[in-house]
Amino acid sequence: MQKKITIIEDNPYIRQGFKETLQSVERYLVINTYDNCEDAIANLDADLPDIVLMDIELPGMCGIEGTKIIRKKLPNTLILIITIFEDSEKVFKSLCAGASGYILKNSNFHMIINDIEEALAGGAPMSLSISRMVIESFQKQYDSPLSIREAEVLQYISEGKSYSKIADELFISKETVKTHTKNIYRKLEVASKEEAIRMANKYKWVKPRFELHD
Amino acid sequence: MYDQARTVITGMIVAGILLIFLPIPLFFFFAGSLAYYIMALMCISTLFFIKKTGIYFGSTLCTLTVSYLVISYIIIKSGGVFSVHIATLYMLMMTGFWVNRRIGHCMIVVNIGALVWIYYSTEKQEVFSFHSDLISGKKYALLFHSCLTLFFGVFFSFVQKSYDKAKAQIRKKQLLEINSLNKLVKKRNQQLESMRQNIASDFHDETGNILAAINQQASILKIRLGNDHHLLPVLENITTSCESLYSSSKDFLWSINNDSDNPMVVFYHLIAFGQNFYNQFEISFSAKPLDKNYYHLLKIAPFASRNIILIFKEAMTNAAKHSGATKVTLKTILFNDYLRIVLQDNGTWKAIDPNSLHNGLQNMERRCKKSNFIFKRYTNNEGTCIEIYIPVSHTSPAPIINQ
Repeated sequence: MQKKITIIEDNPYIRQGFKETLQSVERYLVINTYDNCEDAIANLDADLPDIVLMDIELPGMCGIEGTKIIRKKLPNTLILIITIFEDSEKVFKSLCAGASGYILKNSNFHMIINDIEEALAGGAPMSLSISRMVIESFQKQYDSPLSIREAEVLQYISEGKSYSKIADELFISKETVKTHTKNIYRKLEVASKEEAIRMANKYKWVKPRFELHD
Repeated sequence: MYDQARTVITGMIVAGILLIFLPIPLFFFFAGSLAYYIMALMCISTLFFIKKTGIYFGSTLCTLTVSYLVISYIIIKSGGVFSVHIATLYMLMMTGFWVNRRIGHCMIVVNIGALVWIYYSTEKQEVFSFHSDLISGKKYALLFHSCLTLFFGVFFSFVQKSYDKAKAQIRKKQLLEINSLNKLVKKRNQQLESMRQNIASDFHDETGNILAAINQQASILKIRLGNDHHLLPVLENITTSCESLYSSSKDFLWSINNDSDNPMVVFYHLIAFGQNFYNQFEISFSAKPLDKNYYHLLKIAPFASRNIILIFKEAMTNAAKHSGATKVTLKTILFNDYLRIVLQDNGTWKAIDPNSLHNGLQNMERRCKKSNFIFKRYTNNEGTCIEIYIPVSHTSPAPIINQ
């Protein structure tokens, strides 16, 4: 079955490039492309994408906000951020918002296809600086939600080890390492949601519906 | 405080030396002049005391007191209130004002006291009998010297006061100037900082997107042209150029946004590159940086970071693409005034296309020469090693300046 893809990117040339690249592969069907989040979200029920490629800087709603909304509406849809740099704080925030990974805008055909395949296979990339932001973010919490294995993987990435090296040292496959990183991102998303609710409760931005246990 | 201590020490040194030589001619006329050597000795011992303990105020007071006793003794022995040695009392008072105004004020009183003491110790009633009784008498001498003491005392006091005031004003002005300079530097730094951020975000929003757009459009052309077309190599060149421009812009942005004179920061950048790069292959890559304690202690020459990064990017690419290595490690060792960065792989660099290796190695060597790095390449039982020695300077941690 073909995977349905939606592209949200305001630069028409980049949008067209990604579209043609993906359409040239039989597995993928680019169901729609948008230059803003609002239109894409309005058409979400009609498009029902399996994968959303999302730019961060967009006119109107930004990609981070868009990611949150799409994750809520379609929890099983994979959202991949398309970005100039993999190391920015904004990429980290999108991952906190529920994105499963990122693709560099400057990627060639093979890199784009490869990144999407990996995301579909359940993996997610993590760079050294992103890993440090993740560690810092989890350090703020009282007890880490990460399993021992996930914490090890995170630690090794932050030390600069490649996936193969981590796989060798932990006696697991390279794919398993990437699955761990994906799970780390999921826990990060949950943690940042809880953090947001905790902050909102603390400053009485919303009426508390339930109590959080520390 | 510093000013005062400095004045006292300089005064003591000069006075000590002068007091050794000047009394020699006097000695031929008056044996009591030898007593001046007690003062010289006092000055020298006070200097040693200050050097050892750092206490200057008490020792100075002690020296002054002893000086009073010595001078009074000499005066009494050489004619009392009529003695020419009374001039030494004025000299002593002047040195007192030199140390500080309060001591000077005390010394006006002490001088008059000493004069009174000398007056009562004077046996002779008058100097010259042919003068009128009034001005040749003992009383007149006391009165005259007391007036002169007061004159010098008040004079020094006011001169010193206006001098202190001027000094304070200059200091205030200097402080104001320093403050305004500090503010300017701060403002300039903020401007620089925002300029850096602007360059980075401009690249992100503008240049980066345009570059990606060119690259993506080239991709479209490739797809539309299909596999077998004579235009494909041209498109390939566009893609390669885009990629190298992207990567050099990324390095440039990195260098303006980071402390690129710090070799540890440069090394972390290399690690990040290596990790990202080797993740594409089945290559096990790890790195070993220096201990974190060195973080703020080492500095490399400005602009050296660019060459270090380019050399190792080249070396890491060669290791992956031409040597057949499956294991690569990057480590750094501090060796006297050199930082050694070592890239070890378990492949053989010989087995590859001689032309491309030659170029790569030549590039690395050329860059090393340009930056005064020592370049080494050797094979060991583990595989191939690329090693460069980078001159580093050791910096002490920035001093804390008290406001």
